[in-house]
Amino acid sequence: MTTRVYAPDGEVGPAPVSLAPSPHVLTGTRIGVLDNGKPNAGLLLHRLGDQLAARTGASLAIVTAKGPGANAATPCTDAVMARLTEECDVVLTGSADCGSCTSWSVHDTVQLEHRRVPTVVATTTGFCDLTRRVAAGFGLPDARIAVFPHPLGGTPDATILAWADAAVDDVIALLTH
Amino acid sequence: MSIEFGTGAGTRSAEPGLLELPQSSPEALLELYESRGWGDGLPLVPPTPDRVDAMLAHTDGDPEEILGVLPPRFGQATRRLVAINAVLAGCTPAVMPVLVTAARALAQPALNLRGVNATTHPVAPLLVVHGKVVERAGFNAGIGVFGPGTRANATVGRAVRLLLLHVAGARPGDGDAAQHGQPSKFSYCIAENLAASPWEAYPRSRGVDAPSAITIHCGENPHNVHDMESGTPGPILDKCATVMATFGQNNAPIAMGEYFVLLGPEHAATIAAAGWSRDDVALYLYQRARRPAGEFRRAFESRAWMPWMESVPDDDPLPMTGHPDNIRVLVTGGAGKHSCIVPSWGMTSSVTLPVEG
Repeated sequence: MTTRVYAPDGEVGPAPVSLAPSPHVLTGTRIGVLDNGKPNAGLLLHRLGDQLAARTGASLAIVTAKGPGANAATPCTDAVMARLTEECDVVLTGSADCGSCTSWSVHDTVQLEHRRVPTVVATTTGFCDLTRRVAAGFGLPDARIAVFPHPLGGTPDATILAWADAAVDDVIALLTH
Repeated sequence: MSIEFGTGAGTRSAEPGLLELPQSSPEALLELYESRGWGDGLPLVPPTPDRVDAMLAHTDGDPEEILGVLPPRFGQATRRLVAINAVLAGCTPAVMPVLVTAARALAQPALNLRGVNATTHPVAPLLVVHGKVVERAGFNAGIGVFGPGTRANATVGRAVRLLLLHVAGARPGDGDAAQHGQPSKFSYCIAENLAASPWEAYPRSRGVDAPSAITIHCGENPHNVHDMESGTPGPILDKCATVMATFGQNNAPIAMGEYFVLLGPEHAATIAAAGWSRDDVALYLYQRARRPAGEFRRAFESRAWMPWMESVPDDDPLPMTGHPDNIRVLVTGGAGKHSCIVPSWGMTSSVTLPVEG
C-alpha cells in the first residue's frame, strides 16, 4: 500500500552570489591580506602578497587579522570588512585548513566577492574538497581557491615561503581575466 | 544578497513536499531516505501527514512560521519541519514546545551554529531541559540521565540531530567536518534534577524566570569525575578541576569557552552542606583548574585569550577559562558518587530560552 511521507529538509534561505568583476591586470591594484590566525597562514599570505606586488606592480596595502575578538572560527569584524572593501582592490585570505576555519574563511570570501572585491581563499589539499562544497553551499560554487600542500601548521618557514612563491602564477590567474 | 547574522525568524516558508512511499514498511522508508541522503542511519517513524498534524496540535502558531535559519545549508526551520523531524525521531507530541524552542535556540548568533556544524572538532549541542515540562513530557533527570532507556530524552536529542542533518545540512563530509564525530551526535538531551538540587533552577541563575526552559551548550561528550571518598567540597571539586585542566580540549586555547559542570545530587549535597553557593563552585573551579601559563604557550601556537592572559608569566598558574562565569553548574543524574564535565567547542556561547506555551 502506498503511503505519503514528508520530506524532512524544507526550503533554504540565501540567493546565489556572483564573483566580483576581475581586473585584466593587477598593476596598480591594492592587495589586502586577511589572516585568520591559523598557524602559518599569515606567513604564507604575507609572502604571497609581497610576491604578487613585486611581480605585477601592485602594492600590498593592508595586512590584517580578523579584528578584536575575532579569529579563525568567527567572521571578520565589520570594521575589518569595511576597511578591506574600501582600501583594497583584491584580497588574499585563509587559511581554510580545518572545519570551522574553512567555513568562516569561505564566508568572509563570499562577503568580499559580494562587495565587489575579488578574493582568493587559501586552502590545503586536505580541505580543498570541503572548501569547494562550503563555497557552493554559500551560493558561490566558482570561488577563487588556491590549494597548497597539507598541512600548513608545523611546516618549516622556508617550506611555507617556497609554497607561496610557487603559487604566484596561479593566484594571478585566479584574480584576473 | 547579504548574509545576515540574525536568526532569520519571523517570515513564512513554503510547505515541505510529500513523497510517495511504495510500501509502509520501516525498511522502505529507510531506503527512500537513505537514497536521498537523509536520516541518521537508524530506523525512522514515517512522517505521514496524520502523524505530523498530531505533533503540530501541540504547538500554537503558523506551521510555516520560520523559527530560525540554520547554517550551513541555511535551511528554514519551520514548526512543520520541527514536527516532521520529531515524528521521524519517535517523539511524543508532548515534547513539541521543547523542540520548537530548541530550533529557536540553535539559530541564536551567540551559539555560532555555522562553526559548530562545520568544525573538525566532535562537538554536539547538549540540550538541557528545565522546569515543569520535565515531568509533564516524561524527561528523565535522574539515574541514567544521558541514557539509554527514556523515550523523551532519547527522541528529543535525536530530533535535534535530525534537524541539524536535514534542515541545517550538517551531513558528515559536507556540512559537518567532524573528524571522528562522537556518540552524542546521535542524541544529547538531559534534564536538570531540580528536586535533588540544593540551588535555584539553573535558568533563574541566568535571568530566565519561566515555568519551563531549555539550555543548549555545544560541547564534547561528558568527562566523568568519580569521587566516593570526600565529605567536603574541596577534594570533590579538585577532582573536577583535574578533569577540566587538560590540553586536548578547546577550552585550553579558547578563553571564552564554557564548561558545564554537571554535579550528581550527592556531590552537590556535600558541597551545599558546607554553605557553598553555585557561584562559589564556579569561583573555586576557576581558581583550581589551572596550569602554568608557559605550558599553554608551548602547547598552543594559536590562542584566543583575553588580553590580560598574555601578561601572566610562564611559571604562574593560568585558569583554563577566561572568566568564572564561563563555569556553569547544575545538578543532574541519580544516586551515586559521580559527576561530569562537558567542555565546550570553544567559539560558542550557551543559550537559555523559556519554553513557549
